[in-house]
Amino acid sequence: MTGYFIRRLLLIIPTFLGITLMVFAITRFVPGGPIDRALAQAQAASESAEFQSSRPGDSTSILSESQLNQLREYYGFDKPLLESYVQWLGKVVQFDLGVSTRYAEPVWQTIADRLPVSLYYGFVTLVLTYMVCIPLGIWKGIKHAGTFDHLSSAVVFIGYAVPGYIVGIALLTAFASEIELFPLGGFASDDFDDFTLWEQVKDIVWHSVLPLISYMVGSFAVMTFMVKNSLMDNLAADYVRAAMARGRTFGGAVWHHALRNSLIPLATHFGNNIGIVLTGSFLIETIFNINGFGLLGYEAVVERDYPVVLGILVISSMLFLIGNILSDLCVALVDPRVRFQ
Amino acid sequence: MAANLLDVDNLSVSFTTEAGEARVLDAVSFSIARGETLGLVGESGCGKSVTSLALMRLLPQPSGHITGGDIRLDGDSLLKKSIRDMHAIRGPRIGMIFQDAMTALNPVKRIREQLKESLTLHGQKLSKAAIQARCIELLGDVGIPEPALRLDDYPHQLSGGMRQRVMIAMALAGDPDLLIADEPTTALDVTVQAQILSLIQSIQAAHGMAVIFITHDLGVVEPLCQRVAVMYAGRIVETAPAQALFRDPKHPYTQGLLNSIPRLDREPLTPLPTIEGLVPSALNMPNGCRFAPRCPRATDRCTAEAPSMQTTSDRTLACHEVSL
Ligand SMILES: Nc1ncnc2c1ncn2[C@@H]1O[C@H](COP(=O)(O)OP(=O)(O)O)[C@@H](O)[C@H]1O
Ligand SMILES: [Mg+2]
Repeated sequence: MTGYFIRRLLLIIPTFLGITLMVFAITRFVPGGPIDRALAQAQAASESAEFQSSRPGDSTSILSESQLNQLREYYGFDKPLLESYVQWLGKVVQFDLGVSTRYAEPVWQTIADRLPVSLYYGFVTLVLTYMVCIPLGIWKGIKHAGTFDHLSSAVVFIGYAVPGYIVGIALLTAFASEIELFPLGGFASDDFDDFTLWEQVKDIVWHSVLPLISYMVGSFAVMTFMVKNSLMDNLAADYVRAAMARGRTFGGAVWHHALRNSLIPLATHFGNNIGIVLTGSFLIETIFNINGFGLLGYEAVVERDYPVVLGILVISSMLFLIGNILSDLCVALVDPRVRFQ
Repeated sequence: MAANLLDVDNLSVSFTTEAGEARVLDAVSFSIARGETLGLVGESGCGKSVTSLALMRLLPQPSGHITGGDIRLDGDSLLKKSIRDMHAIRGPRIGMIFQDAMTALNPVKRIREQLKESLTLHGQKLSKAAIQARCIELLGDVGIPEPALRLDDYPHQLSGGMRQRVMIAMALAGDPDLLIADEPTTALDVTVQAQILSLIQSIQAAHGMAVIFITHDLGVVEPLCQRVAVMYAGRIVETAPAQALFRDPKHPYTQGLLNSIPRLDREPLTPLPTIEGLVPSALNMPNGCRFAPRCPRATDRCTAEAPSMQTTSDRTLACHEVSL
């Protein structure tokens, strides 16, 4: 088993290389990269200059060949793909992700600025989702086809059918605009730094109620029904009946026997959820004006801020790869039949 | 004290299904004396498992329900008992072993944890050491080698035969008056089957418990059971002492079952006789005798009218064409 996990850890290396090489190559070929942008900017600048001086422009390129070469060198586009990839990788393994072309600051800095916000939302969403979905699924499973089951199913399915950002807009309109119960957005109040610790906690919670609901509605249905269906399968299993034939009460058979078995499917999901923790959702972040990872990634792609794009990719792909191994580990922990070779 | 340990009296069970109400057991009656072994025999789907679950009041909820009749243990109606009283009966009064020990054992719990339940669920205060000692003793009693080591195993680490022995040990732990064994050997290899059968026999002899031995295989009944009840499509068609039944089967269905047992004294290379036709569905039962559509001796009366039960001192029979 230890051997299995060591092999899985080693497999991260080629997978990671594959993912990053592919995205690295894409950054080379997608139009609108930094060189194109520099050209466009120079063009725009010279056109406005021309307009002011109303002098007819000459037909030569805005930037000279030597200027272009300088730019290519600056962005590392002057070398062949593989060579510059290796160069980039060499820096990555030394934890150097380069400098953001948009913010002109180290990528680590850009990411670190957003990290607390994203971690907060990611982990709180994850924990709350588990805390709500597991008991809800269990309750629905035990009270299958009762009034509570039907009503909660209706709510959960509506939540599943409506995308999180729509829920966000609806919540914002209703509870922040019409009834001014919650703030319109942001991670914390402007005068956050002047608050006492307790006020700070309250402030963050107050700001995060609506975004958290928007984050959670989507995953609710999947998780709740996974727990419910899996519990119902196990309730019908012979071993539950056998436990009751030994004198267990129904509740005792659920608690001592069915429950752990029905959480096995959740364990397989756990790792994936870890990966999703950081990626966030740029739509929800935009709506609630939260400066997190989702927004950063989206803007970096649009602005062709390649060092940031690649930096986020490095972090999120590592999380996904490690998350997968964590899933296996969780499954092996809860299910003694699983022995990885 | 009542004469019989268990009396099942016109027990009827229905399932609510999407296709309608399925009457799976129809006025099933039989009884068992203390220490007696009764074979309950019939084709797959005739209602043997449903009968055993009904006795434990463990029918699948909410679809299965007892619609009529009574079950009396020592003269006490089980159907009038509260759920709380039933918990005290399951284990110490009636124990049960299942067809497939793989699915009847919780895959994520060690044998010790599951065996322990039978010892601790009924209010006994036992020290940890006493529980350990009793668990080892129980596993030893059912012929499991190195019982102390096996306690730490998970079910999947044991062979099929060993798992069934564990199930038997769990039922024994409660020292029940009645043991229901629902096809305990069907999922096992033939050689292992024989071992488990003789284990049940020796345990029964040692503890003097009554046993309902459920099987679809009449062949294993003769050495094991004192009496046999033959079930067809949710009804008991014949009960008789085992020897009498094998010597002189009365019901055409019983005769058909006996004829289809492979035998060494039969002419080699002749096809094994089978009962033609299929078991009727519980949703669409024939009006008269349920065996009539497949019965070689069926008459108009058989298809029109259900036969009433003929009884003598030791046999019962439900057939228009044969009398006891
Ligand atoms: N949970 C259930 N819902 C509906 N019908 C059932 C259920 N369990 C058993 N039955 C029906 O009851 C009949 C008897 O089943 P069972 O007692 O399991 O047969 P067997 O004699 O093979 O043990 C079958 O026709 C089966 O379809
Ligand atoms: Mg059965």
